[in-house]
Amino acid sequence: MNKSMIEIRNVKKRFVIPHEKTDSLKVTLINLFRRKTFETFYAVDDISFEIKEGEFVGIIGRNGSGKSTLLKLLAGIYHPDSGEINIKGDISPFLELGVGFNGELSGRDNVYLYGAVLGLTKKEIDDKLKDILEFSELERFIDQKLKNYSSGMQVRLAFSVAIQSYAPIFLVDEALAVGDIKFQDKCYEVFRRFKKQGKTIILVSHDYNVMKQFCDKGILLENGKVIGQGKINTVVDKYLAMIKNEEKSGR
Amino acid sequence: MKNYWFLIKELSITDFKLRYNNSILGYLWSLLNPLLMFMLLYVVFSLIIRFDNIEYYQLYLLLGIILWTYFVEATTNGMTSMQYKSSLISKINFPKWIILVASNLTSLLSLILNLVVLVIFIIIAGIKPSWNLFFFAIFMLQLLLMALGVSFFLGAFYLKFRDIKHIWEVLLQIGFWATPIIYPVASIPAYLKDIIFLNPLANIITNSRNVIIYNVGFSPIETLITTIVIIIILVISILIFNKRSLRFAEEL
Repeated sequence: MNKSMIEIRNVKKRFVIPHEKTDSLKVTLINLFRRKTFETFYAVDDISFEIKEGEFVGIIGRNGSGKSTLLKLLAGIYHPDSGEINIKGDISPFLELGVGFNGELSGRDNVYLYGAVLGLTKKEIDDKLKDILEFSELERFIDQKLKNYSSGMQVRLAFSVAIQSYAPIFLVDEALAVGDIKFQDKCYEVFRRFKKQGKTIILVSHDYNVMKQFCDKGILLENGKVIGQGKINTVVDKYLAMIKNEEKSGR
Repeated sequence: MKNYWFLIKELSITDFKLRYNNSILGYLWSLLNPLLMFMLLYVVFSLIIRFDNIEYYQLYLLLGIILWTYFVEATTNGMTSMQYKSSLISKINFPKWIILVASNLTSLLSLILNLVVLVIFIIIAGIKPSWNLFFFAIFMLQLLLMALGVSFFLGAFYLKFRDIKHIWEVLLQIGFWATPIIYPVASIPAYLKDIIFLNPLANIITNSRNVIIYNVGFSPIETLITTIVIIIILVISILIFNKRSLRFAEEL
């Protein structure tokens, strides 16, 4: 049996939404003497699940169901209010491609900067630079400033760096494939390779065909709670049926 | 740990490169700012108001301004650095102190350039180097740790309370006049002296001048006490910062 890579138990994450955001001392001082008005809601409400090594898990749910908050909790960006998150091994977050990219720097400088942000060392990036350039097909432009790249070229470069991570766990938010169709095929190829290598991948997406094709397992979220998990096909069908039912009942 | 060091280096060098990006004079600006300030104050305080009782007044003033400028720049930029790197904080998990340390290192690069200029002035003034010079390293270390500690403290609260930036600007204005930067230490009335030298920066700047310009010693016990105070400030600030940093991603 594969060992468990991610184990989360009874995790809750609450957000306080003040009716007027207090980001200044004055407002906070005034509010000391006033009844505070705010709402709290649980973006992630008592979620538990386990993900085993080598599993490719899709997280499904409508907008605002807590998918992104859950990913940020797994990535360690947010801290849970209660519950436990156990993760074995490093995580490479794909929450946004090209975090920290700067248009005024050359493509090459951005590769090093982004690599550093993702936790690679200089030597590792030196070693992989050739692969990165080859994969991104941007050798010709690498010494130009990033602001002169098209947005497609920028994500291609970012994707090419991000897949170099040694981390055993990948968190992917809507970015399994980027660029034009030809480049997207290359991206899918990478994830097939990752799967073969036994990496654990958690994907959030609204592209259910891709999910059915890649994921083994699905987790369905609604209002911050897990309302279904199991085989990906079953979970996707359940979700689609749920949406359809609502449409029928004239929501 | 080695990964963190590479990240710190990348962040700080990138910021230094970008700061003077698209400007014709480029890195020279990091020298011009304190030098113009120095020239202005030198004109006022050597031609209009005179401090006759002070030897090498131009070096006295320049060293004070350079060290003070570092403190202002490091704490102001350090405090706001998390805001400017908000895209990193909201998308990737890594220790937040890295951003702040990188920001302080960027300021340190300017300080080093400025000290090179100071050395040129010292050579022109014909001051002979002495063994006392080595003690300057102690005071530099005090300055760096002090700026770091204050940056951590301010940075811990800045994302939640943006007013801190404006409060800090006012406090720095007061600090500029409450620290012997332009006026001679000898002209401070005795009853004020003890209060003024409670400020670690007053000690750091005065001691630096003594070992670099005047080739006189310093009090080891006072220096030790100052160092202890600075380390206490730093440790407390780091503890507060680390506790608060868990919430930074939500406060942005």
